[in-house]
Amino acid sequence: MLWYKAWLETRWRMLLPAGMIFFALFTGHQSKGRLHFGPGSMLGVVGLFWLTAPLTLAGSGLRTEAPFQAVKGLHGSTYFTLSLPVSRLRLFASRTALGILETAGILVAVCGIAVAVFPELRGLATAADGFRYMATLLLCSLGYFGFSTLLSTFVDQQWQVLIAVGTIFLSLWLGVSGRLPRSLDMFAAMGPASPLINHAMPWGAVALSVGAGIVFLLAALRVVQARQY
Amino acid sequence: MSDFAIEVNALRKSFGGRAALDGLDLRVPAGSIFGFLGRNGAGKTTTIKVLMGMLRADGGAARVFGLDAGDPAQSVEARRRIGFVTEDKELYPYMTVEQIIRFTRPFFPKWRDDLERRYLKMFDLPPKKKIDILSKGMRSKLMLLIAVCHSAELLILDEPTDGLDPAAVEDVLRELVAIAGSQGTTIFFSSHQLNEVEQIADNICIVDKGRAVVAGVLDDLKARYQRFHVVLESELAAPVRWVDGVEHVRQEGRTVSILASGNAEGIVRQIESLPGASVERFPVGLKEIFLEKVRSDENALV
Repeated sequence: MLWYKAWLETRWRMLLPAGMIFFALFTGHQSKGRLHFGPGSMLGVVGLFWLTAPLTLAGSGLRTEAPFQAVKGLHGSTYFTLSLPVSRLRLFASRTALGILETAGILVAVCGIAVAVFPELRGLATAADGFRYMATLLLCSLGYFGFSTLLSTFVDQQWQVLIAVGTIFLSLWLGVSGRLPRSLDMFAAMGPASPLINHAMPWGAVALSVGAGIVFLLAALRVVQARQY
Repeated sequence: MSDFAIEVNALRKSFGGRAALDGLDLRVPAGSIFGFLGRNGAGKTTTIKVLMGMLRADGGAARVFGLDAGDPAQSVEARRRIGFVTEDKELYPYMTVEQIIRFTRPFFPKWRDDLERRYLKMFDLPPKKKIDILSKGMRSKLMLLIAVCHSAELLILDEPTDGLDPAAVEDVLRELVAIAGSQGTTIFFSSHQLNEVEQIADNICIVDKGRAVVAGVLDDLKARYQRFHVVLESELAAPVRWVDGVEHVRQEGRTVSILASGNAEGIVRQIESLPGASVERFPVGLKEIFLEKVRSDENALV
């Protein structure tokens, strides 16, 4: 039933990232032939919007379960949740797993629509490349998902999303300014260096994201287990 | 098996150097209705959070059904047997009444459908209404329904009647007594409403500054505690060294008011030994005991 709770809690949050990505795709579709950047850059923009999904769908910090409650020094429904005969590990794991599943669900929907809207994508890459691209997007989002989850243990939901969005722009800047090796640049991995263009997995960026995601999630779990409410 | 549903020994908890619990001792007999009283900030909610595994004590021990509340695994076991009503009555605002019942039920295999139907009707809870539009009183009733319907052996209720109208308060108190009587459920509740506590509790503990200052069977306490009004011939020339049992003495001119917690005959003998003293005895209610125990009094002589 924790899945049921997590689903009711987060289902509307899926609309924001889905809407943003569909907007990006729609704009790209309407501007076909008039844009001065190629499919690689377009994919990079989609990747940028895509990252709003893990940020908004992460959140197992249990600091508060209602927006603005923590600001008022309250914990929302957290006390009720903690009164259930369930370990904090199980609370954390179910919420995290559902967040990743919802993120993956958005990814599948977006990719399906993208292929339908941009028939030229089918000429760009094979089905295997398409699956590699989806895997890249999902895995490259894990680091941000983990970071956003860790943030949710310290700050309220609105601050969690704001800070995490700031982190996206920071990592974008690191890549664009050349301060980050291209092989570790998430936006290159999801855009110009993606499997749809390069026909190969960007393993460096994927490994960095997965590694960071695991570290952040483990840190968030430790905080949740140790925290006093 | 222990005779106590809750056992707390020398419990300590501080927040930022300020002691919220300062060596609290507490025994809640199984099957009792136990009123947990204290002023705001006395340590009631902190104690409850420690019992529920939400806070870890700095020292001492807290056990529920013999299970260590500070051990995460044992705390989960204990919570299976506890029905809980939180102080702020916050539930999931995005769920309806029906949904939160459907959500909670699987955690408790002994869920009572008959009680669920009964309380939905009695509390007039609308199943299809979202929780975020329910008043605090309605949320209190919903939390009570959830706490009671899973056949909990222990109900921990933090201000359970907060936000309820007087008629609903009466309904809730009557049901709590019925539950304790018919199912043997232990009820541990904190409240500021002394009349409610006096109405249903058989045991009480008054906590002040993180310590238990009075604890016991309510009827025994009321029998033990008495007030003596003494009128003297003239003001006392020197402070009196009162006998055992005198808890609190307040003097205004020739009138002395004494709160005693026992040794009534010894106190009467001492009063009668004072020159020209006349004395009257009065029974003492819970409110008076509470106020005397938690209020600082500049005029107090003892």
